[in-house]
Amino acid sequence: MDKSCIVNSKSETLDWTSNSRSRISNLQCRIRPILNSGVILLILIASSGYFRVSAQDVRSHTRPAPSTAVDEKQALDLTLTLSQASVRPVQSWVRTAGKIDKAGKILTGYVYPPDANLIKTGQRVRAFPLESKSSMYQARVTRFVPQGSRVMVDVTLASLGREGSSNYIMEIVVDRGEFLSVPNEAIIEEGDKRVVYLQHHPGMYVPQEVHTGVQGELYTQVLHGLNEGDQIVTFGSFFIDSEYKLKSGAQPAAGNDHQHHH
Amino acid sequence: MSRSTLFIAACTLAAIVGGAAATVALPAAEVKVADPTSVVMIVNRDSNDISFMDIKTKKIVGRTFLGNNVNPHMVMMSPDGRYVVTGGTRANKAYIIDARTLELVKIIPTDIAPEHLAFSPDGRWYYQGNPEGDSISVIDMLSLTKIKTIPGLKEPLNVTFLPDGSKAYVGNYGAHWVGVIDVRRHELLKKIQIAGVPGVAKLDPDRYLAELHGINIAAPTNDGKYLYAADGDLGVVGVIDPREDKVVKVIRVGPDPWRIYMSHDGKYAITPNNGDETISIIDLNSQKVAATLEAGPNMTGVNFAAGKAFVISSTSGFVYVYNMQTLKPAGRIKIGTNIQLETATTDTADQKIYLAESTTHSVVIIDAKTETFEKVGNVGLFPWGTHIMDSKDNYCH
Repeated sequence: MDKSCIVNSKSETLDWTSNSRSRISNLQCRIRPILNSGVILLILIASSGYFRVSAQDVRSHTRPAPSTAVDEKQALDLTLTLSQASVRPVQSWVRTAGKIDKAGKILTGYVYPPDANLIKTGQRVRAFPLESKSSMYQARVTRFVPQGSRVMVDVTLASLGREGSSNYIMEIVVDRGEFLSVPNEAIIEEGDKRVVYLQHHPGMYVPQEVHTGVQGELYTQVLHGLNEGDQIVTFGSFFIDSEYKLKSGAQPAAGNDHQHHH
Repeated sequence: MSRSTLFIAACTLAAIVGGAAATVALPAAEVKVADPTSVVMIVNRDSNDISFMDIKTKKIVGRTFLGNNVNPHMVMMSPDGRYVVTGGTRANKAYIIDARTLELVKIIPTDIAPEHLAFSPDGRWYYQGNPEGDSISVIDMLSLTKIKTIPGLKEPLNVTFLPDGSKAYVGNYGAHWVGVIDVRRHELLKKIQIAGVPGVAKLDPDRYLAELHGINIAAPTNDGKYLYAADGDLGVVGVIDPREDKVVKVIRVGPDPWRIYMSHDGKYAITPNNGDETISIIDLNSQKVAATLEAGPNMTGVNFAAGKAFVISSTSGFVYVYNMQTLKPAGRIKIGTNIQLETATTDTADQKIYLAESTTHSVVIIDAKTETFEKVGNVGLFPWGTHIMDSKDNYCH
C-alpha cells in the first residue's frame, strides 16, 4: 500500500514540491482504493451522499434554508391565512349515541376505549336529536359507571328534550388541558413526519417539522418545533408546500432535522 | 443601657437579620464559567444552543438553550468578557447570554437572517450582519438594545473595525464592494469597489446566472494600516488604505477565493481558492502572492498555530497543513470519512485548534505541533463553529 495514502490521526507527509505531482498523487489516493475494491464499493460510495455534499459551494452550505415566497396577489387568491402558535385549551370531542329517559331529561349512552377513560362528571355535552340534527341541546355529564372496558354515561339536559325524539347524538367536550398548539389544518402529514409552514418574514415561508402531542378537535398540541407567537400558515399550506418542493427539490431545510427536546 | 441605645441595637440586629434573610431569599445565579478565557464556545445549529467546553478538562460545563427554530450561526464573547452573543438565523433575533451564569439575559429582534457579527474595539457596539435583510443591526451593549439598522448593504457577511473603532468595514458577498461605516453615526459612508467588474459579455454565463460570489470580509492587517478583501467572482484581493478608503493595489489570486485570513505574525495572508482547490499565500510586505499551493475542495477556514497554517476542506474530511516558514505543504490530517468539517478557533497559545465537525456532533481538537487530534463528542447537534475569547482565529463561515 502506498504510504502517502495511509489514513490516521497523524498528518500524511506527501511530497508536494510540484503542484501537478501532488494533484496526481491526490487523485491516485482517492481512486486506488475504489478501483481495488471493485464496482460494488463504487456504487456504495456514490449512493452514500458523498458526491452530493461535494457538489455544493461553501456559501450554499452556510446560507439559511431556502424559503418559499408568496406575493400579495397569490396570497389573496389562495386566501392565505396565518395563525399563531399559542398556548390555548385543547379539546377532544367524544361522540356517542344516547337514549333519553321517560322524563325527557337524562340521556344514557356508552363510551368505548380509547375514549372511555376521558369521561368525567361535569363535562359539557352537546346533544342532537336524530330527527332534528340542527337542534342542539346543552347538557352535562352527571354520572359515569365503568362497565369493563366501556363506560356508561348519564347526561342531563339543561332543558327538556325534543318531543318525540328518543335517540340523540351526544358530543362530550373533554378539556385536555392548555398546551402550545396550532390549528389542525396547519399540519401537513408526510409519512411519519408532521410539517408546518412558518412565516420567516412577511411573504416568505419555511417548512418546520413539529412533534405533536394531543390531537384535539380543532387544535393539536406541539411538543417541540415551534415557539409561542410563531406565525404559521393554516389555509394555503398545501400550495406553499408544493411550491417549496418544486423549487428546492424537496431537500430538508437546515435545522429541521433535530430540535431541542424538553 | 439607655432606651435609645437598646432601640438602636434592636434596629441594627433587625437590619442584620433582615439583610441575611434578603440574601437567602435572593440566591445568586450559579456561576458556571468563572474565567471567560477558560472555555471554548460552541454554536450548535440544530440543537439551538451554545455549549461551553472547559479548555483544560474538555468537558461541557454548561449549555444555553436559545429556543426552537433559532439556528444560531456564530458566537462571540464581548471584549470585556461579560456577555456571549449570537445571531439566530431563522429567528431573526440576537441573543445575549451572561458569560458567567450562562443565562439568556436578552433577546433582541434584528433584520432578516442574522449570521456573522463583530464588536467595536471598546465593546460598546455589537454589529450584527443580516445577509437576507441586506443590513446591519447596531446593538448598544450598555443598554442591550438595538439602536439602529444600517441599510444599503448586499448580503453582508462579515464586519471588521479599525483598531481605533472609528470605522467599520463590511464585506458584501452579494456585491463587489466593501461598505465603510462611520461608527460614530452608524451610517454607510462609502462603497469601495475592489476591482473593475467585467462586462456581461465577458462573464461565464453559468457564473453570471448563478449567485454572486462577492466579498466575504475586509480583514485588517495586524497594524491596522491596510485591509485586504478577496472577491470570489473576480479572483482578486483588493488592498484598501483606510486613511483614504481607496484600493491601493489589486492582487490576483486563484479562482473563487472564499475569503482572506491573516497570519498571527502579520507576515502573510491566505486565500483558500475553491475554484481550483488551491491556496494563495500573500506576502503582506511586498503585497504579492508568495506561493500558490494545492489544497482541497470546499475550504471553509484557515487557522494558524505552531508556525503552520491549517486549512479546513469541509467536505473531504481533511485539514491541509502548510509550513509558514518555508511556505510549502506539510501534509494533511485525515479527520474522517464522509463527514462535514465546519470552522475552527485556535487557542491563545497558538497550540491547539478546536474544529467543529457537524455530522458527528463533535469538536475535533488538533494539536498543532504533533498534528494529532482527539474528538469530543456530544457537544450539541450540528456544531457550526467555535470561539475562544482573545483568539486570533475567531471566524465563521
